[in-house]
This record gives sequence, structure tokens and C-alpha cells, in this order.
Amino acid sequence: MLTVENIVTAYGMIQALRGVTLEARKGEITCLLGPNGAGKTTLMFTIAGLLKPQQGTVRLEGEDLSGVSAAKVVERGISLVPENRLMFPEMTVEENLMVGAFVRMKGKKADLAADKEAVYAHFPSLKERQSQLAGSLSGGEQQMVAIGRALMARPRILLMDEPSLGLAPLIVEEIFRIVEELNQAGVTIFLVEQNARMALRVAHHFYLLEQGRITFSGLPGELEEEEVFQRAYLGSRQE
Amino acid sequence: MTDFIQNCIDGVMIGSGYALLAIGFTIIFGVLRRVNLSYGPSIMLGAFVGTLLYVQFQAHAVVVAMATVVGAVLAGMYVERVCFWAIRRGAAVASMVSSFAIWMQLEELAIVMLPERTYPFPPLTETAPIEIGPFFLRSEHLTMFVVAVVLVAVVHTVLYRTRFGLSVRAVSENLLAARFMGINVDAVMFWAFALVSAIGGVAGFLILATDQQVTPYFGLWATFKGLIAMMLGGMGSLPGAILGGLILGIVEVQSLWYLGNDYKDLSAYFLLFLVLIIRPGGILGHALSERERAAFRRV
Repeated sequence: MLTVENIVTAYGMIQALRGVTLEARKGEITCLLGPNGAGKTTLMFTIAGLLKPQQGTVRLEGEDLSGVSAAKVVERGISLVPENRLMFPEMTVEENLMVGAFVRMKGKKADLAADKEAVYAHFPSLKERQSQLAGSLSGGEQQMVAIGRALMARPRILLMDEPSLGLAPLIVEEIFRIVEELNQAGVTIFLVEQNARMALRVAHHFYLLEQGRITFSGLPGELEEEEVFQRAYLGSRQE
Repeated sequence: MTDFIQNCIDGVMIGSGYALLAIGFTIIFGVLRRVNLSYGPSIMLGAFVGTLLYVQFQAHAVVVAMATVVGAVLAGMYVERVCFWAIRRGAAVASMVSSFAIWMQLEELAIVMLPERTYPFPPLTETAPIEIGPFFLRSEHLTMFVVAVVLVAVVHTVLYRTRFGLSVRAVSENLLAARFMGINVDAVMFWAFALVSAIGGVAGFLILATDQQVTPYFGLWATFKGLIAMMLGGMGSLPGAILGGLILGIVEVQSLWYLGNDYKDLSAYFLLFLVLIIRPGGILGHALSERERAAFRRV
């Protein structure tokens, strides 16, 4: 569904992505693992249209997204749950969700109430807190708001940038349970993670990104677990 | 006591004009995270277009008002593109210094347009003051106050009941997140500027029509009043902007009455220093310290 071909993204002279090619298939959970600084968030920003790659293409179900602005990328069907959640702290949970549906608010009155209820069905604890300011929520609750907010746009594919970051282990388990639940309900997910153990439990396919290059592509279980963890957290041993 | 209350009434009326200016600064500060030092001057330029029509063509007050608003909006759009959009990737200070330079430019442009130092402005109304018991209400003041209230209601409606307003608030709270929601941040900033310039144009017209004259230094004056009111009430808070404007108006009128003209401005500055020392965020600004706020916003 989402194909990334030979992406080269640089910050000035520093090449963060050196020819990245990968694919997230429809209906699957695809994971990208890699150590800090490998380029995972750079890739997410490139796909989301925030960064322009020097080379390469991003395609969504065949449509070329080159040169498409960040705002238009959301309209085309890619929603990002950003690293660190990025709440609108002084808006309520409900208002945060509404902003998520921004691209659908044009023209005729969109039926957002149904989408909102669907989000609350996935996250019942959010419904209790719907009038609470997002800045006052716990990390796990904010993560749920961030996911729900992205879903409000009815994306074709959901990008998730390190959803487990900074969360307690129990909450991380819940988040990944939700990821699986969403996928079973039909959402295609492209997940970037450092928490290799949890990510591999839910992934249908995974990639390893090291120093801006894809160094492995395959199914969970194809690579020795130990090796995966080492390369995901620390990078390969230098030859 | 009668005098005190009369001064309060006058102060609130005058302060409503200051409140509108403060609202303009506040919205720009919220959306762009920068202070626009060309805000007053762009309003002044709009007013000069208005006075040109008045002097050359004896235009009606309503036409002058519309010309002031249109002129202010066009000047505002110019400022936005040149100072803020063009330098958007630079440091915040760069934009603010640039807006200071444009202020000078706009002032010079106004002087070139109309070389005399003072020009007449049409009066708002010709009716006599209204008497309520021992108190007088100047009809121009009342007009200004009513229009200000309506304008505040309009701003509130736009911000809280329209899609555009939602995008303005989102951009103010978290720029990056707003981008990820599909909001065109550049467009939001441009149109927020236009809206704020329109509000400023109305405020400028009301204030100048009460004084019945305009000078090129109106820009400086409006900047002072708007910034002081904003800082008094709390930067980034719209209720704060309104409160700051009203308080500034009351303090000015009271000190003019009891202390004389020399102390009028001094009292305002003194009050500002006092507020900033006791409560740096302004009266309705954040009560939390900067570090606590940073933690709250690290979301």
C-alpha cells in the first residue's frame, strides 16, 4: 500500500537516509526497527511530507506523493501518530480528537460524532476524560488520544512513531494490544519502534534501519531474536 | 466618589479600544510566537487612506471606516509576507527586528502620502452626551464600547465555532502537531494576520474618530497601548487582553483626573512594572513558573 523507493533525505550535508526502500502492505502491521539516530523519525517525516527527499519516491497505492505538502499528505490518507504524542495541551481530549478530523471538516457537515464514538469504543478511559485538558493526562492516556486523533481522519494507513516511548511496561502492553486490535479491524499500520520485543510480537513484516540504510527485511522469527535486539538497540557490530 | 465612578466608566469605554489592540497583538503572538511591531503602523496606514478619502472627497464616516479597515488589512498582509513569512525559518528575534524596520518604512510612507503632521478624522456621532443620573456617557465612547463588545464576540465565535478558528488555536498550541493534522500552517498565519489587521482597523477607526484627528505617530501610540494592555493582562490570553485593556483605560483616566496629564502615562508604566514583578505572566497569564510550564507543554 505504501511504497518507499530509494529515499535519500539529508539535513544540509548530513545524509540521514541513504537510499531507503521498503513497503507496508495493505492490512498488515509493518515494523521498522533501528537504534537511535538510524533515521526512523526522518523517514516518518519524509513520508508525512514535512521533509523533502533529495532522491526517491513515496507512493501510496500507486499515487506518487513527491512534492505533496504535509497538509495534503493527510488528505491523501496518511495519518501520523507522532513521536512524543504532541498533544494540544490546552484543548480537551474531545477537542484534540476534533482537530484530528480537520481534513474532513471541509464543505458539508461531516459525520464526526460516529467517528468520535468509535474512538471512545477503542479507548473507554478517554471517554471518561473527554472534557479534561490533554496536557494534564498521563503518558499512556495521551498516547491513546494521539492514536484516536489520527484515526479521526479515517486514514488509509496509520504511521506510528515510537508509540511506546516513555511509557511504563504495563501501558506499553496495552498500547500494542490496541495496535493489534486496530489492525484486526482493518487498519494498515506502519510502526517505527525501538522496543523490538513488543514490535516483533505484532508485526507481519519488519525492517531494520541502521545508519540510514535498510539492513534487513523479513518476517519476525527469520532473524535470531538476540541479533535483532542487538541491531535494533545498538546497531550491528562494526566489522 | 462620583468622579471616581465617572472615571471608571470613561476608563472602561476608552479601555475597550485598547482591549481590541491588545487582542490583535495576542492573537499574533499566539499563532506566530512573535510580537508584531508593525501592527500599530499598519493600522495607522489604513487610517491615512481613510483620512485621504475624507479630506479629498469628503467621504462619509462609514466609507472612511471601511477604507481604514481595508488599508490596515493590505498593510498587514504586506507586513506578514515581508517580515514573518519571509523570515519564518529564522530566529524569532529576526522577524521582530524586521517588523520594527517595516514600522519605520510605513511611517515614512504615511508622511510621503500626506505631508502635514495632523489630519482630520470624521467624527463618530454628532449626538450630545447621554446623562444617567450624575454620570455622563459620551456617545462616541459608547459607540466604541458597543462595537468593541460586538467585535470580541465575533472573534470568540470565529475562534471557537469555525474550522478556521480551530486551526488558529491548534497552531497556537502545537505547531508541529497542527501540521500533522493536515493544517496548512502558512495559510493559517496569513489569514490570522488578515483577521487581526481588520480588527485593528476597526479599533483604529473608533479611536481616531473619537479624537477626530490622526498623525503618523498613531502607530507608535497604538503599539504602546496594545503591548502594555497585553502584558498587563497576560500574554497569550484573550480574556487577559481584554482585562488589560480595560484596566489600562481606567488607570489612565483616574491618574489623568487625580494626578494630571504629566502622570497619566507614568502611572500606566508603573502599574505595568508592578504587575510584571508580582506576576510576570500578567494578571491572567500563566501562574506557573517557566519550568513548570515547560513540563506541562512537553506533551
